[in-house]
Amino acid sequence: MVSKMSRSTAKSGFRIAILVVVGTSVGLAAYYVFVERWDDYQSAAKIAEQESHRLSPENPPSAESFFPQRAAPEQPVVTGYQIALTGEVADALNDDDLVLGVVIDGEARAYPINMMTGPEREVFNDTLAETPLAATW
Amino acid sequence: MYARRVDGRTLTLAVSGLLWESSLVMIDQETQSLWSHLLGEAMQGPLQGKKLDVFPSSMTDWRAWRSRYPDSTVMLMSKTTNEYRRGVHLNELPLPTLPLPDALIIGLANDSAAKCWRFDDLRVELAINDRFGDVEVLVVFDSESGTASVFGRQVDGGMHTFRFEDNKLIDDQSQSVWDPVTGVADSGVHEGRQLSKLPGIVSLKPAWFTFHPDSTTWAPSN
Repeated sequence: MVSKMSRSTAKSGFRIAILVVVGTSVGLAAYYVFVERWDDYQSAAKIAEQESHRLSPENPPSAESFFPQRAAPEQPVVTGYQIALTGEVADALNDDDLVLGVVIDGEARAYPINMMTGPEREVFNDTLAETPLAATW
Repeated sequence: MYARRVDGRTLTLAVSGLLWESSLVMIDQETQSLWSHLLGEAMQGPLQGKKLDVFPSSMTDWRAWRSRYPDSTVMLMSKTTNEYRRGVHLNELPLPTLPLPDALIIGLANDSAAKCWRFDDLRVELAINDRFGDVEVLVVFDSESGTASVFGRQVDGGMHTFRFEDNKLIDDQSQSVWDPVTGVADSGVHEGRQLSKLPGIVSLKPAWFTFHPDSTTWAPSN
């Protein structure tokens, strides 16, 4: 009785082991195909789509060839910058820092490039000599 | 540097979060039109086809700007980086955040044509007497501040050619000495006159050619 029971237990244990191995294999294969490779398929399709929209002499920039891709959320309009006289804030920048300088109707203003990088800071709405301008580079 | 007035309306521009060929797309808050950063043109939305006027500007260094425009104001905010230095223009520092070798250019564009001049050539030539369409242009590089500029070559209705000699920008016709950053004659017959500054845009060569696929590039053999 005892030996019969243990044989039966061993048999069902073997079946369970087979089931676990097969089940795991099938699961891993499914995971590989549908999850891992799915991303590859999608990014390959995306790259192919982007390639077909690449600008070139045959596909020059136009409203028809315009193909923007979202890389970040829309950013709020930049506010909170200050306007100072260069003579009073000469130490705010290094002598060799690049600036974008503009003169309108005799009024000059500099926009330091090192304060204008990253998506939050790429466009500044400003007014110089009563002229609304967008400082960007 | 763009004007924000289009057809009598003042626009407020923001970063849309969209990129087109890896280049910034701006959005105006008034009409939600989408604007290409490099072209300054609305590509989509109610203002599609409209263009922003470009103000001539100088990409120069802080010392050069302060000394030339002591009454200038400056826009101030916290710094976001420290990488954009004169040395980048002089090829002494690498171009920031770019994994691949790249090349700076200064370019001019209008509705029918585009042309660019490489910083690599400007650092050698310093003063290039050239033509863009039917405009005679001087493309000049100030090695002290790493500043590239494009000016018209007309002075008082007469065409001029320019050369660098003893670190000075001199015109061949009157031998006046000109400031290569401001285009103002510091001495000579034309003292006090100023060359008209053209809206040259400092950009990277691949981006320039992506958005101006028909652009030409100045070459030393020209």
